[in-house]
Amino acid sequence: MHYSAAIRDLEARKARYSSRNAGSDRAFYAAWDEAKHPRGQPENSGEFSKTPGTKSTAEKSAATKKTPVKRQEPTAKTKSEIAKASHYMVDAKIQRYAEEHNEKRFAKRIGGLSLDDNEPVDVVLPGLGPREHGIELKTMVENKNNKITMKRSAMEAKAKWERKHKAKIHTVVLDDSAVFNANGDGEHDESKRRIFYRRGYGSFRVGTMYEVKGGMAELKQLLNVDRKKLPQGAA
Amino acid sequence: MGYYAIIGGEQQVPLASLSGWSEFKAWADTLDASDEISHLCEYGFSQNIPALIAQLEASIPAGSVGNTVRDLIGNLRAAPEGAESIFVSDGMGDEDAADIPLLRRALQ
Repeated sequence: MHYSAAIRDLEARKARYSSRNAGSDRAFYAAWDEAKHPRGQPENSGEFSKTPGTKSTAEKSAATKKTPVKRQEPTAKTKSEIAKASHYMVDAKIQRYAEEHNEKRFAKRIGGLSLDDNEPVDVVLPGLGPREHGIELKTMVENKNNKITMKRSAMEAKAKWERKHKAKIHTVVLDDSAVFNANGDGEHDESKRRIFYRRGYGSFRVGTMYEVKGGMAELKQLLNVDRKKLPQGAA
Repeated sequence: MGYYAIIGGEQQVPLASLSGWSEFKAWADTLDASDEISHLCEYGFSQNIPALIAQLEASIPAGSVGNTVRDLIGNLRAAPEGAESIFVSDGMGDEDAADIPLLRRALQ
């Protein structure tokens, strides 16, 4: 979804929400039978399905899933290219975890919208005044992946997006190294999550970022704080 | 930008947001005869860039996934000479260099 369209969609959703809450909520909710609407599955992002009996994303995916391709043995050249890169390849299991457990929930909690396009940011939300916010969201599940590494071409794309949308970009890292599989395979403990923040984007170690101990409430405040007034590590 | 494509081990280009990559993978699951795309989605890398380009070009979808596909094709076509592989990264690594300060202002 294009950024401006995403913002329009976000505003429309907020308007609908406000309008609904201004009226009588009782009648609206009275017609709802929770038992008929499964919720809470990661693939539903914690939301109700629209109709009773609706298949979850995972169920639909399983129904259309192709036979997996066989993993190719990397050639010597491929190994050398991967070795010289300063990045880690993302494990599919970690990708699924980040997608199912973090991004959409994070967007909802901070009052933003996750973008499903190839935009240079993951989440957008309105700011105070004319500027908007774009958030680069990272999920860290292993202590060894402790550095965000961004090369010039990627930074140029972000700078271009900032200018075009008169926006501020923020980097947020969800350190889930103590959350992921905390209680066994597939059993995560979100109470152990650590959140790190830095204004802008670039290459830096997560340990040098500001740790947001006040949760989402503090994070929301930080987004609108003047750069000069940000705490150490946040700017 | 949740995910980046690392092409030839050195070129880092935007690939897709977290949701965008999820949508891309769901689209890839619907394709026939797309082993390179499937391999990229399943294992995070492909080592046959010409075949990957051909499979992407044969099935560009409409909508936001189409934008991701078109950008990926463009970046693969502009790959460094001699590049053989592309892999998916979330921008995290363990480079042991000194921290680089934010370079945003230098780029503007």
